[in-house]
Amino acid sequence: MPIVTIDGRQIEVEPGTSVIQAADRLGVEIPRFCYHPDLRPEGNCRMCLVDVEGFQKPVVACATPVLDGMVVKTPHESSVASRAVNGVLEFLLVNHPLDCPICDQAGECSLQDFYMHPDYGQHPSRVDPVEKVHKRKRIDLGPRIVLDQERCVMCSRCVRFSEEVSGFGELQFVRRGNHVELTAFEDRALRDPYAGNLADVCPVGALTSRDFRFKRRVWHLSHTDSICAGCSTGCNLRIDHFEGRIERVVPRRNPDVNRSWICDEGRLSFRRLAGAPRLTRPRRGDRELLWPEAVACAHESLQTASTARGLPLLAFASASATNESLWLIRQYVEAAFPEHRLEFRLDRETEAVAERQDSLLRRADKHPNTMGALHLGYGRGVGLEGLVAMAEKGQLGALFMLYYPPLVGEESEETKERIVHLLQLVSESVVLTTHELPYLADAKLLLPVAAWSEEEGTYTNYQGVTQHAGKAVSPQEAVRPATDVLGDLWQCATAARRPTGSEHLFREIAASVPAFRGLSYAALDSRAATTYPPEGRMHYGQEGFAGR
Amino acid sequence: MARKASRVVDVRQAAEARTDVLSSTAGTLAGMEVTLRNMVRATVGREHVTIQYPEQRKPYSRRFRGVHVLTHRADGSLKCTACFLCETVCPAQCITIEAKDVDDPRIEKAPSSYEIDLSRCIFCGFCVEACPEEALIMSREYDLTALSRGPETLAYGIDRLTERPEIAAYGAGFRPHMQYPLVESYLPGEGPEEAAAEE
Amino acid sequence: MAQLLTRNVLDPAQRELQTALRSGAYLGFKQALSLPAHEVVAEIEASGLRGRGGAGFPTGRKWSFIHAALDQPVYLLCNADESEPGTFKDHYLIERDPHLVLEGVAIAAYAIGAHQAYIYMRGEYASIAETLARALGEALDAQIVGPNCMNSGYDLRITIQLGAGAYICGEETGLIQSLEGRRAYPRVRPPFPAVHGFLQEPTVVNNVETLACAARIMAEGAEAFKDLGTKQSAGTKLISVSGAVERPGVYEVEMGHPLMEFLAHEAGGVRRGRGLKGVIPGGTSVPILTAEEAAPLTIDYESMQSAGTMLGSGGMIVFDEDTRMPHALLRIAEFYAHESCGECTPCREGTGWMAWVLRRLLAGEGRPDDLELLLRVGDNIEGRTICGLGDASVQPVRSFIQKFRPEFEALLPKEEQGTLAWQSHGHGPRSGRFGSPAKEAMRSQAVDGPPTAAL
Repeated sequence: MPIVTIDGRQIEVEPGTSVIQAADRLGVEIPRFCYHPDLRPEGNCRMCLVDVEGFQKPVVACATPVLDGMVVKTPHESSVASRAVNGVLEFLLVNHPLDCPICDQAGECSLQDFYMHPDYGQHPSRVDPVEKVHKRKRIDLGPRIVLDQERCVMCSRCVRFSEEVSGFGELQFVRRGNHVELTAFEDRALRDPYAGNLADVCPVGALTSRDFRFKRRVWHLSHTDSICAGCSTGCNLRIDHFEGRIERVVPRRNPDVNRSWICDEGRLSFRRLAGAPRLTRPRRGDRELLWPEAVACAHESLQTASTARGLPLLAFASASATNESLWLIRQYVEAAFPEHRLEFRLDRETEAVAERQDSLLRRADKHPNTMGALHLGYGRGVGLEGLVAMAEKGQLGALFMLYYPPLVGEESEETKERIVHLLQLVSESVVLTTHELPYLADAKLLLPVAAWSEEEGTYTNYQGVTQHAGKAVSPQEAVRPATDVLGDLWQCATAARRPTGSEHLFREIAASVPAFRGLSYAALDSRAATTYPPEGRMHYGQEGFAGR
Repeated sequence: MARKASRVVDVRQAAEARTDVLSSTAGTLAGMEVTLRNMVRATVGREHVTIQYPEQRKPYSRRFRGVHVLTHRADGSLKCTACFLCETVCPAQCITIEAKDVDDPRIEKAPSSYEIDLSRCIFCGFCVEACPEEALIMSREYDLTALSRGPETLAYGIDRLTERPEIAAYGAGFRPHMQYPLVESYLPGEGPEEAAAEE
Repeated sequence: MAQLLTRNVLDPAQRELQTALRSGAYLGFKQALSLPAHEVVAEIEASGLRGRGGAGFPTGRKWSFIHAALDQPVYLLCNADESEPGTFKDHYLIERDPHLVLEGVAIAAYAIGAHQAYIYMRGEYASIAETLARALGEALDAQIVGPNCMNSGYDLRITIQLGAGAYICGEETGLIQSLEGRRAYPRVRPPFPAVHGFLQEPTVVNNVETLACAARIMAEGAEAFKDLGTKQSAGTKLISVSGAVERPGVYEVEMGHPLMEFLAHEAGGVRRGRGLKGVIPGGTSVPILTAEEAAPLTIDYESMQSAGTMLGSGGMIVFDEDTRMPHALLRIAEFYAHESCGECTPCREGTGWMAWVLRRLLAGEGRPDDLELLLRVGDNIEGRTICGLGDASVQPVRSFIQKFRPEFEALLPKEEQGTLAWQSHGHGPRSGRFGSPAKEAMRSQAVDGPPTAAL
């Protein structure tokens, strides 16, 4: 395998690796606009020029394969490369508008970042603002994307994304020279269900997200790594939030799961959380309860309805629950109810988990943790339909339910009816959920729990990859994480306290459930890669204001 | 060097000197020199160093950092582009902006709300320094009072930051590049002609 | 005067197959078909033929790079997208002797093992595309090309493709992209077309004149070709001369022919007896020669190289003493700014910038450092682009300014107006937010050296 030296550091890489990939692996920064690890290299921005020993002129690191014994010098070490990169950056800025104050990309813009780096930029301007070529601005490309042609650096990442990845091919360049414009045919709205990624791949502010438009300057945002709960793919993403409010969601790169992409439904799934009224306090009938009272009441009524009458308890948890919640439900139910059934299937999740919805990321099963529920011993019985039949015959004592409404798509009418039916049939029901949902109105006791992004936990995707989702924002008012509530219930049942932190619970799961054996909580995050461009690597200005 | 050395106090000498009553009285009088001089000027010369505020007011420096003003363009629209730099730089975190899309093809972005909570403001002027557009400058208005601490009294929104009688009364205060006239920014009641006439 | 390619051009009937056959057309192809392909390549290599499109790369060597797997298709592309300013030799050749071109295409295709050849023609050449298509039809009917060429068992399909008129389509990989139906954005090399070319298969791209030479070489032998011209530049060269000469047009000269003699006799001398000021010897992409520099040169690769320029495509442009060089340069710079495909940054922005600076210079709004700025911008383009167009756009700018500097300096603002004169075009003394005198000083300094010097 070839060994390459970059800025005096050696690395051995597979044949066919490009210089920029080798440098990325070494952690040597090479500036780039057009290169993207999940797109075909194009070599058009010329920003990644490096000086290679024995070559007459600088070559582009993104399209130059590593040869054995190659000695590469980046702009950090070589004045030749630095001069070349300086020249390229100056060219890119010749016709770039002075839009930074109103540009949403400002703060995470490659042009800004590179210009502020002494090895690539910081040259005084040789262009008068009146000389710039003007193009069209603020072009509406549908509900996801706004195009600004002036800000475009013609790196063609978006064009390649739309051709190679999503396959819609809706963007192209027209005209020539410094009048080249990025455009969609007749400015038609993009139909691509992955169009949101265009704003992510754009290294400058040419393509920006309509949803995030003017909401917040990016340097105000705090970041939390998470996992999309919109379907069973489990795309890695980063939640960007400000003062307890989620402002946007962007993908994190994970070559094994979602590469650098997420679908638009997943990207906007956080809007669903605020889309319906939240359940804010424990409630029995019309009476609002305080938590200690509510927990005691929940446990006692379940006990009375089930164990006392010798009928089995149905513990139902939707597959949107975290592994930790599912585990704790099982612990609680096993401790308190000798006769019980564990179920998670609302519909046909076990079959749907194997089905794709399209050729890229989306899958038919809209639950993030179907595999986790299966691993944890849920759903080995007759399914919801069978359970409804049992309830009809009066064979179910009580229902304990942890239900999360879907973040993508809607629950089918059939499922809703089935839930309503079940709630009407059982004499006692305790439902932990996030929102005020009409089809849960018949529950005897409603307990508000934290939704996705408000609690920490792990999900196991359709591939069986267990991933960690962090807590980005705090739940409002009296809403508590499901694991906390379950811990209290467990305490009611056993009169012993137990830790309910997700790390502790995951350790328990890994110790006793075969499918999770050998996994460590801390290592879950390192399995997944980082955002692209890597977090924090290209901000040379002030430190962010995230902590304000 | 020599001069510096002569200022070093010999502690022993100083301690001895303190016992000298005469010299200590002289010291006290020397300390009161300014007070005494002004006392004489006011009583004998009828030269007052204080004024009858608020009936009388002193002019403040042109660089005075008083209550903020949002300037506008010649057509009356707000100059502010909602870049959030003032909000970012504000050490008291008293500026809150919300941005909106504007239909005007020349503008694109503008604040839908812009609020400075003056009860928290420390009048450091960083916001004005940060403004890339001269959209936010300071006035010389200094006597800021309110009857309650509620946000409705001292949290100035766009309306009070752009138009309030005090701005004309006190005049514009601090902004960067004070040596040049404002570029395409106008104060309340001012258009291109008035601004030109003022110069 | 040696006549190799232009032997039959004066006969209008040469376009017809029967006449062409009588004058020996397709004998070379027949000869080639009688040999194994590698011997054809060897023959071309032995002839010393170098590419006539501009770069002068040895043709035989280019063909020998093709190493295709058995089931892998190979393509021959004939580059007839002649768009270099001042060049019109291929047009002439196709118009007057289309069968010679077709023969060359057939030979090259056979030599590299291609069964499909494309002739990519410039969009503006629609009329001669018709001539060529008619000739191709005749050759097909006579079973000279097509399935089982001349009963040899070799199949060859030739397709004529018209471009839509873009300079960049004449660039090898741009041509390939355009032929594939994409925007003619040149590709990054490696991989080279000989490995991944048209449709990602091994591909050879040759100029029209090169292929015509190949036809003659196969018909008359490598030795006969090599006997013509100089040691390093075998054969003849078509020169399309234009500009300030009495008889502009296409002429065939033997390599090594003295340049002055050519201008005086073939081209009829400088127009109206004026003095010669400069010559661009091979299309606008090569550096210009002053009259003194041009005087001792001969028309061949090595002589031109010794004078720091190139024979290029043979598109010779002559400037007489009345030519205003800055105006001529602006015209050239505007051509490159207009024709830059816009793919890679330095060329896209640099060509437009150079044209802008020249335009303001000629409009009397120049700044004291504009000449330096032009040269620095040129430095930043050269060697940093994907294709050769970037380098090409720099050559005229640099050579014009270096060789005719007084003319350019006369356009600069007068000294007494001071260095800050141009800034009044901006927004008064403040000129944006960076308007402090210190920053302005940095600006002017920056023009003196590359950006790094100011750091």
